[in-house]
Order: sequence, then structure tokens, then C-alpha cells
Amino acid sequence: MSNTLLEVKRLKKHFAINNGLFKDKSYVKAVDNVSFSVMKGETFGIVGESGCGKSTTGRTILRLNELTSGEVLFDGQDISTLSYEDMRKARRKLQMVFQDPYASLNPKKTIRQILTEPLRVHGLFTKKEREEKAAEIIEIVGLHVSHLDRYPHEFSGGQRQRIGIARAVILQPDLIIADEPVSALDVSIQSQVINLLLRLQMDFNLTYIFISHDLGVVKHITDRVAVMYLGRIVELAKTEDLYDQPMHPYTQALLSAEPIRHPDQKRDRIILKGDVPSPVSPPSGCTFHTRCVSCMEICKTEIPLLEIMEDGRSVACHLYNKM
Amino acid sequence: MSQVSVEKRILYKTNERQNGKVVSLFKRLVKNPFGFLGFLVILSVCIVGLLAPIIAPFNPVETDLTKKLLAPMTEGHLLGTDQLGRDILSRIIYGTRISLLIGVTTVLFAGLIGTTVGVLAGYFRGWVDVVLMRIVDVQLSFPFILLVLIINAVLGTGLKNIMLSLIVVGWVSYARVIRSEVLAIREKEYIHSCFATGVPQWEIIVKHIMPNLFTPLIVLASLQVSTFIIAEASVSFLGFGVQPPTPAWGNMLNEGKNFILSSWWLITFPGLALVITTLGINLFGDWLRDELDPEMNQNR
Amino acid sequence: MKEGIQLSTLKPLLEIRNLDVSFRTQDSSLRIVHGLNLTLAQGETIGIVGESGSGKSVTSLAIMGLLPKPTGFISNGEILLDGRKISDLKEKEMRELRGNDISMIFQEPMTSLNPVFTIGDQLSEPLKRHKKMSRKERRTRIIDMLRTLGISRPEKIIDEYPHQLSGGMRQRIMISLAMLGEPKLLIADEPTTALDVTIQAQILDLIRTINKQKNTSVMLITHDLGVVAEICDKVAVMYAGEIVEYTDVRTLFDKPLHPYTQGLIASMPNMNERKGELYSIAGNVPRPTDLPKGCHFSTRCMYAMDCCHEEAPPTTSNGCHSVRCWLHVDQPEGHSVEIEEEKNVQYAVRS
Repeated sequence: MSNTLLEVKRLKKHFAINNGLFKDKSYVKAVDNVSFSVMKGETFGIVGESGCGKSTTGRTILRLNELTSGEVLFDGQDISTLSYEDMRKARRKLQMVFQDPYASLNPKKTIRQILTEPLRVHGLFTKKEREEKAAEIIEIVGLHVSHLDRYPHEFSGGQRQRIGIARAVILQPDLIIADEPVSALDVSIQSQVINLLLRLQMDFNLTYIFISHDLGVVKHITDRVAVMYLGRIVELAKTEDLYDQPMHPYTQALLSAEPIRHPDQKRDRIILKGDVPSPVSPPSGCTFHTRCVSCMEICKTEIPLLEIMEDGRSVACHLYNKM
Repeated sequence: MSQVSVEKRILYKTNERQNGKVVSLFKRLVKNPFGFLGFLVILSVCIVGLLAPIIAPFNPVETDLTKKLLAPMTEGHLLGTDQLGRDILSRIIYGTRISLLIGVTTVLFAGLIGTTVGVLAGYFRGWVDVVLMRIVDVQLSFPFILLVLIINAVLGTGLKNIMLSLIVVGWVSYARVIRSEVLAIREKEYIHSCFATGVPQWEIIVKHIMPNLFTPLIVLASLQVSTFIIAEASVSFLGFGVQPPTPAWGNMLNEGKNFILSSWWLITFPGLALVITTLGINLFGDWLRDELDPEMNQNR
Repeated sequence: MKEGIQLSTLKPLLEIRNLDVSFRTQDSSLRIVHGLNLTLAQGETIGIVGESGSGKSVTSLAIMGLLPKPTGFISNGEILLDGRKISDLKEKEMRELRGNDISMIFQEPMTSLNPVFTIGDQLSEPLKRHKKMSRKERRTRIIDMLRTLGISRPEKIIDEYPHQLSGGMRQRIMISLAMLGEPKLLIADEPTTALDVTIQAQILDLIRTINKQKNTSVMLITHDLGVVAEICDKVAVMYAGEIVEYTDVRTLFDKPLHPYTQGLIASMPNMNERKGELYSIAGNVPRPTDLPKGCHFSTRCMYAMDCCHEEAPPTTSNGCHSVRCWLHVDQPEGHSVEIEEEKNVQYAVRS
């Protein structure tokens, strides 16, 4: 228990949609009953396709969206009910790295301002010390002190993402939620940034929640992975286990759809029919049943629960229901 | 080697941008004929207004009934005289002051109120937004002239009251524009990242959102100045605005309308001054909008 | 100048010879694509791989005659389709060609469809323009096409609007639109980048089927080597406006010659030990305004020698594998030893 850094319990985030003046509101269940815990020092991955709720989960934990219900325990404290000011203070230990390095840095601020701001708003150090810290961290992430007085647009995407990471790390937080941190980068730059994240984790003892749609990257960097589909976790397992032997039919299909590494590599590809259903009106029962190759009668009516298997992983699928 | 030259070039670019922003903006202005024309008009109107006592050939309020309704170019009166024998050119020159005063102050105050309301509504959203925007809606449902007339009827006529009424009428357009602007900026990822960092709310508003409002405000204000100058003229024309004998383009038009068939110059020249000024401001404002609009200006 | 290499004995459908594409800037012009040579035979699939700024999309626009006017233009070289020079056609003739002989699909299926017209309206466009058909014939034709492309209930889809469809479905509609003119060449610019992996698998499958069944040549532009491995016969790797390596897909993955290609393949996460440091290419992609002198990759290359910083390497080819790198230029005996030593020193410093 003492090893648990973050515990998310029955997290729900529903977005209301207005259907016009005289109609009832409908709800998008972006995150529906998601529970998991993250251990100190590990990298916890969340994978899934667009619209599965993985980013919303991350943002809701950090309360960039207000949650609909559920609890988020960070170091034993429920941060889901904190006031704005208390939450603001708690953010010192909980940071975020954003997907789009072009949009997540204020174009009108210099790098120095961007990097010292987190320290300043949390009342840490004197002005001079803050500047020293900024100079220190910018070298750590692989840029140069002379870059401090430039503006974000003078940097390439990879360099900007380094700055975004530096801003998150400068507070020496316990947990960093990285939302697709390399998806917007060029291929040859992605591996640089992944290496940086791995190195910082070692040096600063960081815990990551790594949100991504890129199965290869997730496989490389994470210890445990949760696979999400339409707002729910369908499978949660150790990374090796999940990639070696996926159990949930969706995980199987997802992994088999990943592009091959070599033209001679053959793969028994499970090509899913159709598209992800609209989260406004998700299918009844198991939300995956409309596309599942092994769909049974029960799947159409009953929601499968996330159950723990012998090897310690959890799967939400009627195929493995112990009855 | 090449690394050094790249560094140098970037440094050079940075300097150039910071020191030369205004200069390069001006260079581009000179290249645009309409924008530059507008700029020249504004410049000359300002100079005329400032130097009115020096430039004006006659006292604008001095009446001389022996010289009433003189045609242009007679007895030293370049643009003729009005029904009380006052020099029209001098009255137009002094009228510039009133127009500029009204244009600039009302825009300033209306902008201040409108921006505050817009920022609050756009940032806090929810019920704050609903309440403030419904006030705006109510305000907008009154015909503009009617509102001005009501205010002037209640508070009495005069320069102060006309300015007050124009501010009351004018702030709503700022509130609307700024609100939608703030709504958009608030959803930018760098604002989200401020939340995630733990930046206090007031600091997010003042340091991260407000600087982005500069461009839309400048553009809106430049176009509003001309609207307000015309509004003042319209109200003065109806007899509610600036009261005689103080010279203003609006009340000159009002007085001149009675002589429109016999002495055309009474109404033509103030009208022309009005048209040229507003046209100049609009041309400049259009240019400024295009110039500052990042969509139009891809190569930042 | 060297001709593009011939990887197959088939009659070439598309030939690009020594192509330069430039963009006018305020006071000069900027060369975005330089010295491009490619051939594509009927029924072949070629992948153009590169990062942002590599010039891969600009190349496709040049073929389509869609370079943004008046800033973008072909400054050198020629493009031939079926032996006919198309790089200097007039806009009207080019329009005749587009959607008929060459079609293109884009990355963002959302913005490529007009939201106010039904799918049927938009799909009739190329038929109206290029073929004489009655309204009814067009409708059956479109429904047939949608059905062959694996779209369920085409009779309904045809009367729907773009916003009613999902991203994957929209991309399918775009492909249908491209295929209605029965083009000889289909250019796909990052067709799956905006899509999820499971949908990507469907779309790649579809492109593969079209290629096989209709013998349509496909030019696939992508940044993803995995996608290339999936469906391409041959590959051209582009870096900073130039093709740095050009060969068939197996050779590329088995024996990449150019350090950039080697780096790209080595840095795929699956190629590395889990949690270990990923192989990575140092530095950043240079901007077209700040290209290094000599070889464009020299600033990031771990094998870079003196000559790499001085002079651009020529393209060398053994008939079926061409590469633009000084390491693979045959030099007089003594010279090559020197290079070898240099390489070792470089390597020692890095490791």
C-alpha cells in the first residue's frame, strides 16, 4: 500500500451535449468507471484508439476537466475534492507533458519565463536561484543556456517538447502524466525524446503515466499497460504479458493491427469490422461486441467486469468469466 | 563552422525582430497605398486638431452678421461663412478637436468596460457568462440612436453626456468580440498547461490571456473611432449633441441643413471633413487588421 | 546526370527525371526538392518515406500540378506519365488529367470533403467532368464502386453528409472518389496518419486490394516505415529535399546503405531492447532555409567525413539500389582506407 502513488477509483467523466432547447441533454461517457493504481517509480501506460478516453482520463486525474464522480487518491490524499487553491498547490507534485509542442508553450513568453514560472507560482526559491535552476534544467534536457532568451517559435518540434518536459520536471514532481508526448514529432526525433524521458525517470525518480496510441512506444517504455475502449479499461496487465499474450479480443486485434517491422514478417491480422461506435450511444452490454470476432449472446446484454486472472492481469471479457 | 553561422543568423534575426518591429511595420504600411493614405489622413487630422489655434484663420465662434453666408473664396474666407458670418474653415478646424476627443475617449472607456466584461464572461463561463451576455443582448436590442437620445434626454445635452451615452452604447461590441476571443484562447493548450503547472487564476488572465487580446483590441478600436465620430455627428445633427456655438461637424451640418438650397457650402464642407476622416480611419483600420491577423500573415 | 534506376523491366508509367521544385520567397527562391529521379511501372507500389520538410508532399503536388501558385514551381527536370511530358501542361490540360489518369488522396479526410454536399453529389463530380453518363447511371456506378471498396449499405451512405461518417469511412469515400476515374496512378499522401491503427489496417488492406485487382500504380507518401513494409514494392527515402536511398523494399530493410535509413530503421522501438536506450539520430531536421553545406545529412551523421561537409555526394547505383552518400562512392585505393580510418575514429569518439 505504501508503494502506491496514485489510486484512481471508479473515475467517471461524462460530457453533456445540448441537443437543442426542448430536447434532453445526452451524455458522452468519455471515461466510465475506470479504476487503476500506479506504483511509485513505475511507468503506467494507457493505450487505445482516438475517442477511447485515454487523454480524458489523464486530464481528469489532473482536474483539467472536473470529474463527474469517483476518487483520485494521490499519496493517500483525495485530490478530486480539493478547492482550486489547494489543488493548485498540490500540482507541484503532479505535472503534465502535453502532446502538441507547438500549442503548449505560450508563444509570447521567452524560454526563461516559461521555465521559471512553475517555480515562481509555487513560491520556490529566490529569483536568482530560479534562474539558475532554469539554466540547469535546460542543459539536462539537452538544450543550451543561450536558448533561454529565445521564443518558442525559434525551436523545432523536438526542442519544444524538450522545453515542455523541462517545465514539468523543474518542480521535481512525483508523478508526470505524459499525454502522447512524442506523437507529434518526427520519427527521428521521437527516439531522442523517449530516451530523455527514460533518463529523467532514472535521475529524478519519476513515476509516469504514459498515454499513447503508439503500441511500439508503449511497449518500449512502460511497466504495466491499461488498454481502453470506449471509456473503459478492457485489459490491464504487465507490459510483457500483454504483448506476449493478449487476452481481450480487442487487445488482440489492436496488437495485430500494428504495422510490421519487415516486409517478410507475416502476421495473422485480425481486421476489425467497422469503426469505433459513437461514445454518445455506445452499444449495450460489452461495448466491443459489435466488432468482436468471438461475440456471444451474453456480450450483447451484460457488461463484463474487470476480473483478475491467475497471472495477475485484469480482463473485462465474458470469454474469461469464471461464472 | 556552419553551426556558428546558424547561431549568428538566429541571433541576428532575433535582434532585428525586436528592435525593428515598428520600423518594419511602417515599411509595410508605406508599401500599401490604401493603408498609407489612411495613415496620412489620420496624421493630418491629428495635426490640424492639435494646432487648431495656430492654423485657423478666424475665430470660429465670432459672429459677424455683415458677412453672413459668404460664398467660398470671398473676403479671405476660403470655404465661405455661415448664417452668422462665422468662418467655415475655422469651424471645421476646431470641430476636428471635438471629433477626435469624442472618438478617442469614448473608444478608450468603452474598450475598458467591454474588455473587462468580455474577459470575465469568457474566462469564467457558466452563469457569469450567461448573466453578462444577456445584459449585452438587452443593450443590443435597443436601437442605437434611441438609446443615445434617451440618455441625453434624461441627463441633458452637452459634450460630457454625449460621450457618456456613446460609451454606454459602445462597450457591448468589445464585450462580444473579447469574450469570443477569450473563449478561444482559454482552450489553447498553453493555457491548459498553465492550469497544470499551478499558475493562479488571476495570473493566467493577466499574464497569459490578456496579451493575446492586444491585436483584436487595436483593430476593433481603430474601426470604432470612426463609428463614434459619425455617431457624435448624427446626434449633434439631431440637436442633442454638442451645443452651439461650440463648433462640431455634426451641429454644423444641423445648422447648415436649413440653407442647403441657397448656400450649399454650409453643409458640404463639414460633411466632406467627416467623410474623409472616417474613410481615412477605416482604410488604416482595414490595413491594420490584415497586417495583424495571423491568418492573413502566414510568414510570422 | 544519372538516370533513375530501373528496378523492374515493366514499362514505366511514371518517370520523374532530375526534378527540382522551388518556392519563391520575398526576395529569392528556395529549392525544396532537388535532383529527384524516380520510375514507377504499371501496377507497382512505391513508398516515399521522409520526415516533415523532406519534400515528399511537395513532390506529390508537383506530379499532380497542384503546387501552390504562384509561389511553387518546377525549376528543373521533367515528369512523364505514360511517356507524355506532364510537367509543363497548361492548367486546363492538367485538370483533364487529374481524377482521370492520376488521382490523389490526402491525409485529412475531414477537410477534403465539402460538408454541405452529400457523398453522392461529391462522388458524381469526376463522373460529370470526365464521363458522359446519365444521372441514374452515375448513381449505380457510384454504388458499385462503394460496394467494391467494402463499404456496407452504400445505398444509404450515398445520400449522407460527410459529418455523419467516421474518419475511416471518410477516407474510404476519398479513395472511392479517387478510384471513380479509374486512374492509372493513385497518389496517397499520408492516407492513414490521422487514423487509428485498426482503421489503418483496413485502409492499407483496401489500397493493397485496389493495387492487385485494378493494377493501379500506387505512390504512397508516409513517414512510417511500418506502413511501407506493409504494402510497398519499392521505396525512396527522402531527406531534406533529396532522395538519399532508393531500392526495393526488402533490400532496404535487409541492407540499408545510407546512414539516415539505417538510423530510421534502428530507432523503431521494436528493434530495441525494452526500457533500454533507443537508438537515435542526433540533432534536428534542418529547415530548408538553413541546409548545411555539402551533404544535407552531414550535421547529424555519425560517419560524417570532411568531404561530407564540403561537397554534396553524387547518387551511386548498382542497378537496383541507389544511394546518395560519400561512404558508397568508389574512391581510389588509398582514399578509401583513409575514409575507413576516419570512420573508426568517429565511432570511437561517439561510443
